[in-house]
Amino acid sequence: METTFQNLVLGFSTVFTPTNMLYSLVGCLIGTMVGVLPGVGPLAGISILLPTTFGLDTTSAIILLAGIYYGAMYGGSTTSILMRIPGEAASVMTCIDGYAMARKGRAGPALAIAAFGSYIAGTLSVVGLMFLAPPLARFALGFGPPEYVCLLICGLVVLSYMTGGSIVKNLSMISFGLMGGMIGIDQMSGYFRFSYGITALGDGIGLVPVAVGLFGISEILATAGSPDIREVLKPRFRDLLPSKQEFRDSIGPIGRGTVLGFLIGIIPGSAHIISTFVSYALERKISKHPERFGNGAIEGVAGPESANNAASEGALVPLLALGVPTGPVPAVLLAALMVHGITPGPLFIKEQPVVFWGLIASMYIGNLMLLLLNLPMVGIFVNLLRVPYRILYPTILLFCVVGVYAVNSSMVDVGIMGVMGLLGYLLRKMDFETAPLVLGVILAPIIEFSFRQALAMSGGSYAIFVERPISAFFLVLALIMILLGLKPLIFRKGDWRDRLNEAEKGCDAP
Amino acid sequence: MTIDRVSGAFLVFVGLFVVWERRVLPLGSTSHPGPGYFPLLLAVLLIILGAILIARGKDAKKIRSVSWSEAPHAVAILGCCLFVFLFMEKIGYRLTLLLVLGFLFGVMERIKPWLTLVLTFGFSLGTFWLFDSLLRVPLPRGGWGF
Amino acid sequence: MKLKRMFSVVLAMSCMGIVALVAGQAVAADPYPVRPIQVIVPFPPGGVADLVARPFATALEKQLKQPVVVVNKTGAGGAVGMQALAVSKPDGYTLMVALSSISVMPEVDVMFNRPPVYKLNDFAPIALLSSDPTVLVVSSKAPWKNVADFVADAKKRPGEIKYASSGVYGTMHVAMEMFAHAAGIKLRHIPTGGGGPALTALLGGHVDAIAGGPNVSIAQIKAGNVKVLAGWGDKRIPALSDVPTFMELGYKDVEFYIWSGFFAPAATPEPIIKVLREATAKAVQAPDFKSAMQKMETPIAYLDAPEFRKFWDNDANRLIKSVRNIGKVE
Repeated sequence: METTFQNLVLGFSTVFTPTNMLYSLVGCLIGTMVGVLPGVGPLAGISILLPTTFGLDTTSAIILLAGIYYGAMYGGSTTSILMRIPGEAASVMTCIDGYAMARKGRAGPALAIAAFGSYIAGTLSVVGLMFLAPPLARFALGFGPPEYVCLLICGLVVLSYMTGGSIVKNLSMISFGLMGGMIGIDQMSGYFRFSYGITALGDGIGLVPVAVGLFGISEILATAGSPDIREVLKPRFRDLLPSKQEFRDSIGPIGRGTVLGFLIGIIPGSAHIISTFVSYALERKISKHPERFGNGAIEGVAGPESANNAASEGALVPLLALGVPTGPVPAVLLAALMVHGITPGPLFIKEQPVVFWGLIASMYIGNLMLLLLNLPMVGIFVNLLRVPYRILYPTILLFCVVGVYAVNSSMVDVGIMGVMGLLGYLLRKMDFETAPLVLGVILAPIIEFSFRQALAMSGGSYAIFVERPISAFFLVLALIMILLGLKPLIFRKGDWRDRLNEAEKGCDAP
Repeated sequence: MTIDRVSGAFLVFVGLFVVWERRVLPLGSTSHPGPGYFPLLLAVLLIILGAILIARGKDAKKIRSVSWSEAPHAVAILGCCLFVFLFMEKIGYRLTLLLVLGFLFGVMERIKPWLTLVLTFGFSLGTFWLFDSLLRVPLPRGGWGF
Repeated sequence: MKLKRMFSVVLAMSCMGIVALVAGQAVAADPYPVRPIQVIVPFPPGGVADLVARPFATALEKQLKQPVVVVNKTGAGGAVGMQALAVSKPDGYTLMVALSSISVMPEVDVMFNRPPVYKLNDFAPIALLSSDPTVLVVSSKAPWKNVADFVADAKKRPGEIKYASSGVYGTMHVAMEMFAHAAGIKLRHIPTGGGGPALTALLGGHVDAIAGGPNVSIAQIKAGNVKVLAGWGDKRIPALSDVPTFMELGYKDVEFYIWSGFFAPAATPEPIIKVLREATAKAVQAPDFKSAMQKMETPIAYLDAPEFRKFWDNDANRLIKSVRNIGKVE
């Protein structure tokens, strides 16, 4: 504990130099901008700036790049709430309740709670990172394919509570998404599946075009021509801040989202968007008024936003403690370190205390800076909403196209975005929820690949799932949750979901 | 004809399509699933779910009651997306966007001509400069290098 | 009125568009280069190709006096970016830095009865930039002390020893199978999503071995997590001087390098290629580039076009033979 404190002092002294503070600020700014831009996420932002960091001192370079990384998580919520376009793939869940709140005139509080939640989650995660990095990383390494499969089965059970509406429709959306996720090269055997000779489909249809298209483009399609006058009043200052009730309602989700996000983030290979889905589903499940979700429940913003910030910092744990990247963004951070001659490995913390503790200290400062940056901007952003929609939506369309194109310099991605936009539009007309589809697209490759990897590891025997302690644990957990979910069906006549279905059918607008 | 029945039919169709297309992919066995295994499982699941929707779909909203009032607008926007997809790499980013934005602002939204021109040129050239020159993210230039 | 309005708008736009077009048109022909150059990297940021391409692009920029921008066009194990280069205009403004897996793709396509996404002679090699032999990495707790132990164990329990790769027919897969074929042993292949996940699988004890890149392994060796049994190069690696090569141990023809090369479309005119070759020769001497590569512990292995072509042909033949031996994986 003593040494940690000393190291922290060392870290802060490194960060408090004018240059490093400047780099932290620049990183956070760029990160927010990158997050706000639809489709372009931290990966693109970091890769663009990577060459410019070659000439910088290592600590400054890492502070800059890391700032972009967690900054993007702050910015991603902005477009999600204001325009229902995920600024960054992980912000998809915020689109649902955040946008609903904006429609009701509560955009300011939504943005503010998102910022607060992100700050608390970010800061707490850094604490976790600081103290628990090495043991957590070791634990995370124990997650192999069998553990993944069982963890995701657990997740799927939780996620079946994610949205209201008919179970059959939700299941079909997940299955449809899972199917979509199977397009592309089968990594186990090298066969191309459903790609019809379009090489660009070889890697699958990609999360960014799907998320932006399904949520953003479909929203534009549905509202651009609609005669509804969008009510935009000049917001009073009071309206920009969350009410006491909203604050109180958010504390729980923020706390739970942080823990959930951090734990999911440290697992190598889990996309941290999964943490937002699980947080949303969890909040919905334990809420006393689940029907509020989807219509502007502040918990649906606070939870997922905290989760994705915590997950992005958790993802740094295996990178810093063991030199193992958990996903594409940590991999680029790894590359940035390698270019400076540092190869992160298990000895990174011991051998490079200046870089490590400088990074940790910069994360505290960075999160604070982002909070101070984002809160005043809430007013500006809300005023953006007052631009007449007729002028706004072609601009949004423009940014979506550019954002999606810029990710991979691929026109095919733009095409996919358009197709998903049309699909999203039709699905809304048919009363289907679109969020499970996105979930399916993300999960499909992971579940199928891990499942087949696990079987390859065991030579075809299914026993591997119960032989290993961690995977057996998750399997049992999933079983318990399924039984708990079935209990009402057995013991009571219909649970809240059936009552919910009745209520929804009654309120259907023609 | 309710929405549930229509969507159910669509799901069944997709399921059948996948079953058909998957013929070329080897199935493998239960202990060594091949590339065709999971798609087949999912296709079967989709067919079952679609069938359930069709069977229980009697009480859902009628398809005639779904409002398509914004459809013409949506079609125009989709048309623009299609145009962008087909032509942006051939005639370049700036030209495509000039045309698309000009169409959307000027024709669809009936914005005053001078404002249309300002917005269109401002956005297409401005964003090109922002991304291509400033951020070094190359955007397509057409056949003439523009 | 609506029609008239539409007409006037379209007319105005077209006039404006033409003016802009004419104004923006590039001045005719030479000298090359007059516009920014794009270098396609068919792999995601942070990978080997990307790490080499970026300092190289910066160094090349100083030589060519035009911006040289790296564009990641990822997908299908690199096929998307490679195909993009094969069909791009051969005017010298679209180039590529790719890895040795370029030689493998067309062969895999042939095996799966697909029309090949590109052919090897769609590309004109300009220069070889770096070349790293892979190394056989196992957990430090493993019972094998050298390759002989490993082979003996594999013969005792065929198909039981697991190894991870970065993807089916990827560099780590082909390299390991090359060795397995030469040693007459059967190993169990667990594909993962990339080099990073493969290393993670080894560290987590889910697999027993990988054929990995030397630079990442070195950090883990220092931490005592792994040990290296042999290398796929023709010489020992300086940083791992007590690790024998497979060739030393008697496995002839077991050579595998993860190399990165600079390519242009085959139809690019000769004078432009000459300019690029000269610029590259100077760029690899640049102190910035050298120091960047040194920090990444990736030795510069520069070969000009004719020698590179010979190297590439040899390497491609070896890889294609190995892929044919692997056959179709189900």
